[in-house]
Amino acid sequence: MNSSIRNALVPLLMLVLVACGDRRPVPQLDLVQSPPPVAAEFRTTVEPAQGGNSSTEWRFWRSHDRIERENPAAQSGDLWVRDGKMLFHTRLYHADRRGIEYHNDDLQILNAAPEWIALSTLLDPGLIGVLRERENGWRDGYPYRRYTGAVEDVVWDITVRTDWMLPTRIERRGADRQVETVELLRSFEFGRSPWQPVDSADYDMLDYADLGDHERDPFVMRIQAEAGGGHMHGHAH
Amino acid sequence: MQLNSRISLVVTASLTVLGGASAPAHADSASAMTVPTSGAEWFSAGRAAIEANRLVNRELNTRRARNVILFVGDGMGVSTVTAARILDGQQRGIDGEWNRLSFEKFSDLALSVTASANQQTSDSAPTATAMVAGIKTNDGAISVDQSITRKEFCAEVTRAKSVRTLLERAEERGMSTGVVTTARITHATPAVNYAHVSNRDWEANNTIDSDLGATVLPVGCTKVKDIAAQLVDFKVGNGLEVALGGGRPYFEPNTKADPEYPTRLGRRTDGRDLTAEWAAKPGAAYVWNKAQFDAVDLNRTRHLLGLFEPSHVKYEADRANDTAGEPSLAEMTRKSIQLLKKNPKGFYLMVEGGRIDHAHHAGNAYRALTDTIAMAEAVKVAREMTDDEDTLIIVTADHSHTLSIAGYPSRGNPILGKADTGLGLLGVSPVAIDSLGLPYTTLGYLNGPGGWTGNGSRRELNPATELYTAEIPFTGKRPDLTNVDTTNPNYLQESAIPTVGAETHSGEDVAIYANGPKSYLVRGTLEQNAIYHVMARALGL
Repeated sequence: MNSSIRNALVPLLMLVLVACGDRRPVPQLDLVQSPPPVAAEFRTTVEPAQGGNSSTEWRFWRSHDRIERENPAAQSGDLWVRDGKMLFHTRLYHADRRGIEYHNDDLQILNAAPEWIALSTLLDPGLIGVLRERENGWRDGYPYRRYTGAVEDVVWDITVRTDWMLPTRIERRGADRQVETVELLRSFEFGRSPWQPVDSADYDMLDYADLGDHERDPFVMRIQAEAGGGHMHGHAH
Repeated sequence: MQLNSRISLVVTASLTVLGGASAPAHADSASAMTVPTSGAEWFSAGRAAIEANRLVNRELNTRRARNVILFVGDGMGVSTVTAARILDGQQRGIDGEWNRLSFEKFSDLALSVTASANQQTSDSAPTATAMVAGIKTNDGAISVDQSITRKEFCAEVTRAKSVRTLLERAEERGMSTGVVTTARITHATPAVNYAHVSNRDWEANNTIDSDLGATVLPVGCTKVKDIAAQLVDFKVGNGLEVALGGGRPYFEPNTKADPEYPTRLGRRTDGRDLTAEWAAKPGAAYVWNKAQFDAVDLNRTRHLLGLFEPSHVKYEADRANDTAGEPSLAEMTRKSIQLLKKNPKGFYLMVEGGRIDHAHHAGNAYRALTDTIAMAEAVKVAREMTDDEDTLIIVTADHSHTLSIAGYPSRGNPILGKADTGLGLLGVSPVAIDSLGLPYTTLGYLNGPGGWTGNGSRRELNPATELYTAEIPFTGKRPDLTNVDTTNPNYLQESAIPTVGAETHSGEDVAIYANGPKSYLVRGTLEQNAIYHVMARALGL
């Protein structure tokens, strides 16, 4: 089929499917399967009860053994690499061209070694497992499932594009009435996104275990003061 | 057991050790593990220990040492040794407070003042330089004196300010030499033996080039070599016989994939493959996993390089999970001594328990203590393989950490647990509570990440999931540990002051334990650089 015919037929087919109501079966969300490679852009919005919303847009690349997240505004990012049974995490500071590397044992100590499936799908399988599936179907040509429920005083509303194993929306309402929302803005097949991860291959990398020996390194002093966390990870949601 | 028979056991055990010139002050036979249970027994045990010391001091080992082994527990302050001793005993089902680690049975002991030339509380570079070169120097300095600037790029200036190390002097005499560590072999403490550089961070050439940037070196200056290159290019004597630790990428070009983790590349930007260069030397072998390490033919191998991880070697608690397998510190020590002992002129060996420090920085007492116990096992192996008559063994730390042992827990209370009151009935002792009505752990840090997220809020370990909770807004209260299993290996002990990236070193004195020829010179309160002079005197250098 040449491309001009395909370009004409695909919207027509979509229109027919929508008009008739898409009765195709919706794939199950199987958080055991390896998710397909994708690139995506999200927006995280935080609405405190007292007002004063803030939002951040961030990018996400997922391949079989490598996950990258990037916050262009903050010029920071996270790289996760799975190598055999080991997991490596690098927190990237693009403006400084430096990174902090966390090895498997560091992550264990920090209790910051998430399941690969959670990292790569941005979904917590344990959480999905306890929420109730409220609806499923097809939207804009892709299958989705929506899960809702409350866990430990937090109300969740999560919609997942099941073919790509990627959330299109995560809403979290805390007991403090703060609402955090993660929305999928755009998604692409891997390698087809208009933006690519910043190349960090020649960055000056510092081991997390060596932070304590860099007490006078201005970069280390600054990021500890800024990031605050015992592990300086970015959070998608 | 009847009182008299208990006294008899303690006294017999103490007398057993009186025969050796370097008899331990604390009896180490199995029967001596019987803890006194009465005033009379404590009195007898105390008197027996002093009797043992009296005899030791009457027969000073004034011989010249053939071999010297320096063990450095990085960050192994006195509180770490005490807590490790107790944990080791409790893990083996004996009285932890009565237990002694292998090196605590050495004949001589002193305190070491760890302040460096420009620091009240020091980092590992000047403290390790003090121990192996006999001088005090500035922060970050690797066997160069305090007149050098932190980033001196000029090799000629660096050479002029370099200080000769015990390893170099041993090589000049024709002795064999080795360095073993659980950190990167290019890390500060091992590096001071064989390298001279103003900045401890210059472990591979890329960091020198990055710091140098567009700066043009003065006329007459060539660029200083990185630490890894200095190890492989080491020209004194016939070069190091043994170098075992971690840090493969610092030796390999940035075009070469790591053999254990192929997604990772080398760090070198000068194209040099230092592991291949090492292996190409006559009689040299390079290994990077446990199977290769075990298969080393000591009859054919004269120079052994082992790099078992891209960065630091695994914590002892995590070693079993390594992808390719890696030897323990005790196994590396054993193999090293087997190789070094082939030289009739003797050997010098430094062994570092390098990750005690890292676990403390992370605020995780469990791994700091289990790595201390692993180093004590390595000391035991070293002593078993050598003769007290001709081998001086020194065990010390480069600096301390802020770990404290607090409250009034009962004898036998789990050292990783919550402090108890000792006031209970029927063997159940209620936990102690603080002024807020909350329980607290025996071990804690003055500063560090434990319990803090860095913005005034805290995290708590959820005992059901063994995961940390989301941030809990700061309420002015400590975490409630009532339902928290603080003996979990991943538990981070609370810190009073949030330095959330890393807990810090501390500046109090550390202990020096010594056994063998000239060990009697280790006494009193010594400046840390005196350790070098004890070792040099023992070797007759």
